[in-house]
Amino acid sequence: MAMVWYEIKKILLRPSCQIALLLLLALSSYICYQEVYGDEGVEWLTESGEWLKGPAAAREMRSAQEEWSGPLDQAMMEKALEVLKRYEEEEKDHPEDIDYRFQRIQPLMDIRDMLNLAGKDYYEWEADDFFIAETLTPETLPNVREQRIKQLENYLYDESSLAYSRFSQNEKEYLLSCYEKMDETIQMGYAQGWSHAFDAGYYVIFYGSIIMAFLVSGLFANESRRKTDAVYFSTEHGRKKGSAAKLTAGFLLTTAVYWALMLTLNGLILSMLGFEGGDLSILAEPMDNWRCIFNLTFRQRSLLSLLDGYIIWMLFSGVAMLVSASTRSESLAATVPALLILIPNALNSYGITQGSSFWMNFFPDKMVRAYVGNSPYVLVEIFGKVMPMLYVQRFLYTVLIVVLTLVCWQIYRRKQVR
Amino acid sequence: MLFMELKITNLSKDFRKTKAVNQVSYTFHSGVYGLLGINGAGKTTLMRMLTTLLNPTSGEITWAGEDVFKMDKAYRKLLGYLPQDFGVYPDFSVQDYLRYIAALKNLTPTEAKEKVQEVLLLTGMTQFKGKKMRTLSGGMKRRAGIAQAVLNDPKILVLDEPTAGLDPSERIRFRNLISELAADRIVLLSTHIVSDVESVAGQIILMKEGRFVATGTTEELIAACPDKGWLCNVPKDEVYAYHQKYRVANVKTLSDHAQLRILSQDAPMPGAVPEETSLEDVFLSYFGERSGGEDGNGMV
Repeated sequence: MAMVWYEIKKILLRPSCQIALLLLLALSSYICYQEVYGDEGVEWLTESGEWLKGPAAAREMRSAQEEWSGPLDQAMMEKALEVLKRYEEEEKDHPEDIDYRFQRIQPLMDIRDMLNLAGKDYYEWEADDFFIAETLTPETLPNVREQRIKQLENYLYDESSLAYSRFSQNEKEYLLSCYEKMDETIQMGYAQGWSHAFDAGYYVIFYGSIIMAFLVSGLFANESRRKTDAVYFSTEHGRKKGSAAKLTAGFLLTTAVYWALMLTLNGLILSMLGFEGGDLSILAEPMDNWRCIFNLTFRQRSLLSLLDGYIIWMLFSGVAMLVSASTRSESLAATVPALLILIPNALNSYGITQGSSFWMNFFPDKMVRAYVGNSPYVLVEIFGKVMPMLYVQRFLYTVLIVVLTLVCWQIYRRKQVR
Repeated sequence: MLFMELKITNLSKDFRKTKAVNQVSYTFHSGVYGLLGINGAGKTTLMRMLTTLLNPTSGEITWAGEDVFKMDKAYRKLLGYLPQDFGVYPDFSVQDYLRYIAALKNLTPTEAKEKVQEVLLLTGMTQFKGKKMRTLSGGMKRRAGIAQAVLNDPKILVLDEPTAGLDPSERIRFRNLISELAADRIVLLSTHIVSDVESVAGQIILMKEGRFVATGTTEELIAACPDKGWLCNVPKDEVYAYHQKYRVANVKTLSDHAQLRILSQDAPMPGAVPEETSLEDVFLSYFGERSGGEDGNGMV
C-alpha cells in the first residue's frame, strides 16, 4: 500500500494536477449552480409575478404539485382538463397579464405535457402540438400507454419514416416490447431533485472523464520524462508490484474523485431541490422522457447512470495509463481519451454520423447519453437477441478496463531503459 | 556467507548498427571496481545491463552462477543503482522520496523509517530531509541518489558517473563515502574522471568502443602502459610540432620556453626527464586520440 500511496501523492503534489482538480471542482460547481439556479434550473412564477429560482422555486412547485400527485387515471386527467380549459377561458379576461394562464397551470405542467404528447397518433413533435391538451374532451382523453405504443408502431412501420428501414423486425419488436412494459397508469409527482441531479451528472461524467484522464496521464510517462525510470526499474518491485501500484493508484484516485464528486453533486442538488419522487417513473417528466425505452424510476436511472459514469471514467483512466506506459508521452496520454469522447460526440452533434455508422455507436459518448431523454434508439442484435447498445457497452467496457490494465502492466514491466 | 560473484560472459549490446558493448567478459568479486572510459565508450550501456534495465543482445550476466534476468527481482533485491542522469520527483521531499524507493525495494514501513534516517545521516542529508527535491542543488541531489542506492544495503552497488557536475569538495566527500560503502560488497564505479577511481578503486577496467582494453590495479595498469611520462623544455614556437608528433599531457608556458609533459615509449628529445607514470597517463595513452582534438594530436 505504501507504493500506491506514494503514486497517488506524485499526482496530487503536481501543480498541474492540482489546477486540474480545481478546474474539475469549479466546473462541477458551475454545473450544479446552473442546474439549481441557472437557466437549466427550477423556476416558479408566483401570483405576484415574481420569478423564483432554485430551492425557493422548488418549495413552491413541490407544494403546488401535491394536489396533482398520484396515478394519472381518467379522474385525474379529467380534473386537469377542466382546470386547463378554465384558465384558457379566464386568460381572455386578462389580456394585460401575459403569464396569467401559465402561472396557474404550472403545478400541472407535466400532466399537460403528457396530454399533449399522448393526444396525437404521430411520433415527431410539431410546434402546434403544444396546445393539444386544451383541445381534448373527457371523451377523447387518451390512454397514455396505448397512445405511446401506437405512435411507436406508426413510426416504425410507416414506409416514409427513417425508422422503417433503419430497424430490423427484431429490433422493432424489441422497441415495442419496451413500451409495452410500461405501467398501465403512470404515477405523477414532484421529482425535480432527481431530474436535475441526473442532468448535472451527465455533464460532469462527460467533461470530468477528460480531466481525470489528464490527472493519471503522467503516472507512467513521467518516470521516463524525469529520468527516474532507471532507479525505479532497478528496484526489487519496480517492474512488477511497482507497475501494479501505479495502476492501482490511477484507478483508486479515479474511484475516489468520481464518487466523492458525484455523490456530493447529487447530494447537494437533491438537498436543495428535494429527495421526493425517486420512486416515480421517469415518464412522470414526459417532455424529456416520452420516447425513452428504459422503464426506470428516477432513482434507478440516477443509480445506473452513476455506475455507467464510473465505468467511463475508469475506462478513460485505463486508456490514459496505457498510452502513458506505451508511448512515454504524457500529452498524448491526456489527449487520446479526450479525442475518444469529443470527436464522436461532435460528429453526432452535427449529425455527420447520426445513424450512419454502426461502429460510431460503440464510442463512450453514446453511453453517457444513453439515458438522456429522447436520445435516438441505439440497439444491437447478438445471436438473435436485441438489446440496447448500452448493455453491450457496459459489458465491453468492463472487459476492456481489465484488458487495458493487464496490457499496460505487461508493457510497462518489460520496458527497457536506454 | 553469500557467494559474491558477478560474472559477465561475452556480453554484447547492439543499437541498430552500433555495438555499444562488444563481447566483454569479466568477473567481479567483493571490492571497488573503477570503469574508466571516455564518453561513448559503452560504460552506461554496460551498467544498464548489469542493473537489468537493458537486455543484452548476446552473452550473459550471472550472479553466483545464476542468470540475473531469470533471477528477476531476487537479483534486483541485491542491487543499488545511481544512474548518470539521476532524475527526481520534484514535488517529493527528500524523506518522501527515500521512503518511496524503500517501498519499491521491499522494505517494510518500519524498516524504511529506520533505514531512511540511517542513510540520511550517512550522506549528511538529515537537515534537508523535509526539503522538496526540486529545490536541491546538484550535489544534494547526488547525495540523495547515493542514499536511495544504499537503502537496501545492496550487495552490488552500481554508480554511474556519480561525481559528474560536482565541485571538488563534493567529489572528495563522495569518494570518501564510496570507500565507506565498499566493505563486503561489489561497488562498480563508472567515470571518465581518472582521479575518482585512482583513489578508491582496487581494480580498474579501461573501456573503449564497447570493449575492455585493459584491466588491473593502478600499479598493474601503470606497469603495463607502453608509454612513459617525459618532462621536456621546448621553444614556444615548437609546441605545435610536438603536439603533432606526441601525446602531450600538459603544457606549461614559461617566460622563455614551454614545459611539456609528453607520453612516449622513448625520450622524445635529448634532455627529456623521465617522470613517474600516473593513471592519468595510462588513460591518456589508451584514449588520447579520442579525448583530444579531432586531428588526433592527443591533447587533453
